[in-house]
Amino acid sequence: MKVYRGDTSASETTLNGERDASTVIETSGLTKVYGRVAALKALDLEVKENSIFGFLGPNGAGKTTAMKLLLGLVHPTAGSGTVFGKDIVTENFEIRRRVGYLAQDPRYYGHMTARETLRFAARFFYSGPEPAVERRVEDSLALVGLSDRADRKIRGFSGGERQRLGLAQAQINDPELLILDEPAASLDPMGRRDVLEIMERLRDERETTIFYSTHILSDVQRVSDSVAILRDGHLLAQAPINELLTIGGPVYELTVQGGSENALEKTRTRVRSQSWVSSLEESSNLAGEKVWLVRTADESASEDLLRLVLESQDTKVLGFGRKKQSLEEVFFDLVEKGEEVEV
Amino acid sequence: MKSRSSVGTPGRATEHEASAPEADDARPRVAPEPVAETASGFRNLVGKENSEWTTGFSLVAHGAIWMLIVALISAAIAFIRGEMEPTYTPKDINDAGALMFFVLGAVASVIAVVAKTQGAIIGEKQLGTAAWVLSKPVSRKAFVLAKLAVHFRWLLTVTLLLPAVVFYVLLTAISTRPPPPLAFLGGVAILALGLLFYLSLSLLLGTVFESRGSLAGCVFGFMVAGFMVANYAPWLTAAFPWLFFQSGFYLVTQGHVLAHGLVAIPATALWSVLFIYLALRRFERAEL
Repeated sequence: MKVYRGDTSASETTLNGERDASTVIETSGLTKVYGRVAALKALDLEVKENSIFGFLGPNGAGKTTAMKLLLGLVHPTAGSGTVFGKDIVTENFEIRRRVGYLAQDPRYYGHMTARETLRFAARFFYSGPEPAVERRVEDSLALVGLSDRADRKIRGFSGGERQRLGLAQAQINDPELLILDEPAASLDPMGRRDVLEIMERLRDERETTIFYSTHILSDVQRVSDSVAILRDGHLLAQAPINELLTIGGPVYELTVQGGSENALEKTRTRVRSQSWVSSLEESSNLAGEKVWLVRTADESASEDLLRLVLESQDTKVLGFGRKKQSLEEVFFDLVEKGEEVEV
Repeated sequence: MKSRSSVGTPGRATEHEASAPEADDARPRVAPEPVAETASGFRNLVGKENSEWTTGFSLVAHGAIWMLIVALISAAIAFIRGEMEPTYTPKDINDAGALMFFVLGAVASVIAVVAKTQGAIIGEKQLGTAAWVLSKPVSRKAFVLAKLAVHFRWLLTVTLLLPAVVFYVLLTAISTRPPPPLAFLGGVAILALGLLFYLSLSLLLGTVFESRGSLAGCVFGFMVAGFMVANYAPWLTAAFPWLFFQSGFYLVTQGHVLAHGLVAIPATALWSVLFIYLALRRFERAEL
């Protein structure tokens, strides 16, 4: 099975040949092989403008490699990619003007202070005037809460402080696209919350597109608009998060009570025989009531399902609702199966 | 991290920023201007490399060590020889000192190149700072050339120029007669070319190897090999800077450079250019 989302599939090209302006990142068959190891296998990725795009996968899945390919830091073995419509191999200098990047476990020059590091990063983008550049540096330090440590040498920074500095330098040029490789790593819960808030504000207030990788699935579910899941260099799924959470169709939870086991069995069979029902799993709750998890083909099936059960004789419906899957459940399901799925 | 009512400043929002008054500041906020489209980051990188040299004790330590070894020891040798041999003329004292100066200067410049630049590229690749810098709009050529320019500047200053000035003054005081200044300057220039050769070789090897040990071994090995080659295949010394100390010495003491030295000077310049070209090409394709 292959997962592709309906509303954003493939790059749209207008009649006069112009690219769809809303696509920021697009890759086609992007592949990277190191010796005999394929770090990334034919990645087809599409990231829309002004979205937060979560890039998930276990360690070694190829997330960092994909990000470095987009920035021209490593070169593809096969396939192609564009950022802002510019080729990642031949036009990566232009791409880097408009992008901010935070590496996994970021390292900077130890002899510099945080302020000097931001000044150094800013000067690649701004020529002056000096007070304006300095103000930009100050704003960035304040953004990540490092103003009080601005003049300390980086070699004494903790992992969390380096991470904050990394976020500050990544957005120093007010980038249109932020590529963040595990931005919340090394941060305490409050730092993590702040990073997520900053990401949301950058998207909402500055219309920045954020492409980031993380292992913290609850964070992804909280802030991401779209998600891609990678395993062993292979793309398993790519979809808006709401669609990803309904992989295989919506699931409804019914708590039922039958006059007899026979009556329940009849109702079960009726439900299962419907063409729009994908599966029915039964279990018992603590009160000894039967709980059915019914997976249906589409959203509109909920009323039909409820009506069907209510119409059944000797079967009482004690509870009915749509079961929300967590990203964690979807992630583990996809990664453990290792199959591409279609949303 | 602190929250702000508005995230950050300029960049894309330059015009908006320029006209929007700050809540806490009545003056209009001036937005930073983007760098020119053609900027490669070279100037900024040169500033960074310079600050790496001048921050901390690196410059002082290198300056002190090479001043002691190249200038003071050479001058001391000249002084001792003058004291031990009453028949020595001022020229003999100058010659004895010059020989030491050019031998020690040649060796010191290679040691200093290895000590200071073995991690210049490899270290940045391993640490991830190269990937960080090159994720900005920086050309890879600028990254390498900034290292070349700044390291050459400071290595030349601390291993040759400053010791040369001090040595010249001391030698003049010891022998009571200054060595010919232009010839001495020419000799130092020959050593400077040798320094450039080893520096460009070190930077090239930095783009090839992943370990500092291999780089250091190759550069030192090349220098040591030169002494052996001089015995077994002397014609080869005309292609490399192995006997540059001899060329410098002859220039100061005899007023001319030997034939092999005359060939070795342009050959070394060509090798240096080739190494720099290869380093740029290799780094252009490096995976970070």
